[in-house]
Amino acid sequence: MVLKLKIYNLSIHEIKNKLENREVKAIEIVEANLNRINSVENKVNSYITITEDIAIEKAKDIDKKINNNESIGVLGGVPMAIKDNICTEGILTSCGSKMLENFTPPYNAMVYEKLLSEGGIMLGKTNMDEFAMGSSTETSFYKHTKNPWDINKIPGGSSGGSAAAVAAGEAAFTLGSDTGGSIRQPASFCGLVGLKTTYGLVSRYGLIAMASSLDSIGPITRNVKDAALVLNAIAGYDSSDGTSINKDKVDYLNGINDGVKGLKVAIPKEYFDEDVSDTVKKSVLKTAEVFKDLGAVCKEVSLSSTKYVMATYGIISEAEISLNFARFDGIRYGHRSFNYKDIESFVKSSRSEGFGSEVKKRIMKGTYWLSKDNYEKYYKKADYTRKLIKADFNNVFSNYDIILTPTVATTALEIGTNQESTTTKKKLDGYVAAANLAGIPALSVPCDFDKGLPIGMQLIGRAFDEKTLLRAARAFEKAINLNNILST
Amino acid sequence: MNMNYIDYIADLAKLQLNEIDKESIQKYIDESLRNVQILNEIDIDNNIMTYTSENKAILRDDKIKKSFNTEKLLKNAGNRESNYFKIG
Repeated sequence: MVLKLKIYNLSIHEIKNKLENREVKAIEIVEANLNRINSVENKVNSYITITEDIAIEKAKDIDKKINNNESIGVLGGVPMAIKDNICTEGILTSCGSKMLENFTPPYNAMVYEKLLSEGGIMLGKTNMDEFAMGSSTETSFYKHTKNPWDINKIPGGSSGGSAAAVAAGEAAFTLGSDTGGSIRQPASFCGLVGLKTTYGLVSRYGLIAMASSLDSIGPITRNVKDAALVLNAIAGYDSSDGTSINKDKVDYLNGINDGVKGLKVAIPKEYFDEDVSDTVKKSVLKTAEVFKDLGAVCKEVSLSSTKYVMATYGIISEAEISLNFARFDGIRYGHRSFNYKDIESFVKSSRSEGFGSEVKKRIMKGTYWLSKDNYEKYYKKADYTRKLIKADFNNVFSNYDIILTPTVATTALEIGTNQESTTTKKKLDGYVAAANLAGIPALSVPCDFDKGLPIGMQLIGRAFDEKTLLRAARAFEKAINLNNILST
Repeated sequence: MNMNYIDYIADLAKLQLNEIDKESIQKYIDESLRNVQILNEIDIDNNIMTYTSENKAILRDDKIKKSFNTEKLLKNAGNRESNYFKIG
């Protein structure tokens, strides 16, 4: 079945064209997506909350504006969904956790506010690993999201609901958050484009923090141009986020089709180690040949700090988790226990009943890394190693424009695969977490298939140089035209 | 790591853990401790200073800004008294 003909499977740019030419109404697009949700959601489980009434009302409003020849914004009439850790005023924001099963934020995250002001139509909130801790969306308190390419496989995580929703035709695009690969890894497993933005480019105001120095918000889309368009809408300085960087506004669509002639592409040998499957290795190395044919220069390099990435990421992220999650005490919001005798037991019971086991594990580990006896030995060492990792990237970027690697070592794993082992963890997250430690942008683009499952390649770029990443990804996407093979 | 230390960390983290949780966390921390040994290869050189962000400390002017609506903020609390959060 060629789903491209279906309204619910149109890209953002296709929707915009059709609306502009008045071939279709915003309400028809939204209804097509809602019908699609009705027919596949019980198999895929992408959503925690579906905001049907809000979507219909907004679509009617967009249609009215079109009829009156008023401006509708760059995303006017485009159906979207938002990861459930991004605050949406008056709409449940649960983070996939029992802890927040009754939490409706009193304000909007800046990214959501920006998408709404550009005319985006909210379809709902997507499922995720509990508080974004996981790589398969299986730690969600609510449901397991399935991979639309094969419902026996995981969609990846933690933004698994966001990826599955786009892959299954349940939204034209979604937002995810990426702390150690949580946008790119599910995008890779679901055959989509997923962009982790430079730390400081997109406001984190209203993103419920996991690890504050690593978290970034970005789009999951059907193609590279759509990712650039959404980035145009969400990027920019925000005084409400103390880590937002004030830079001149960039148009990420401008020059996106300029090609890669003369672009210098680094291929780090450490990213093609024994844990990467032969098929993934072969597919990603084949992309280097495509880049060469397009006029880029590709050379093997070494990123020798790669072996420290998982240990450093573990310590830094868990340390920050243990601090951030101290805020959940059952008093101002979140799950409140009735099983207590004093304030100490009130806080302990509320936290212990509200958090799932993955969250508890990471809080425990983070508390351990930061405890008096261990701080110097582990946290300080990891913080220092993080600087070495950043310096290692800077060194490569002094001679190259982008870095090409696999996104994940494998295609999507079976649901229920034990992810406790160090090797499985590395296979799922080992090739994506370095960009978060270095604060630099990275995206995953579909590059091939193995037994009907998508393979993604990762492009990593200089800080704030999303433009080059998107241009390279676009050139590749145009050259191989994988869009012709679509999920059912 | 011994169980007493797990109890000590759980107390710091304000978590009540059952025996099954504790055993699984003990295994998890032990495995992590093995995995982070690789960082022993690194000696900290205080002369190397690179930063992961261009960010600088930001102080805002000490001016009263529009704040949130009290009713909206209290709506998520399990219990309240007047305009206060109530514990218990």
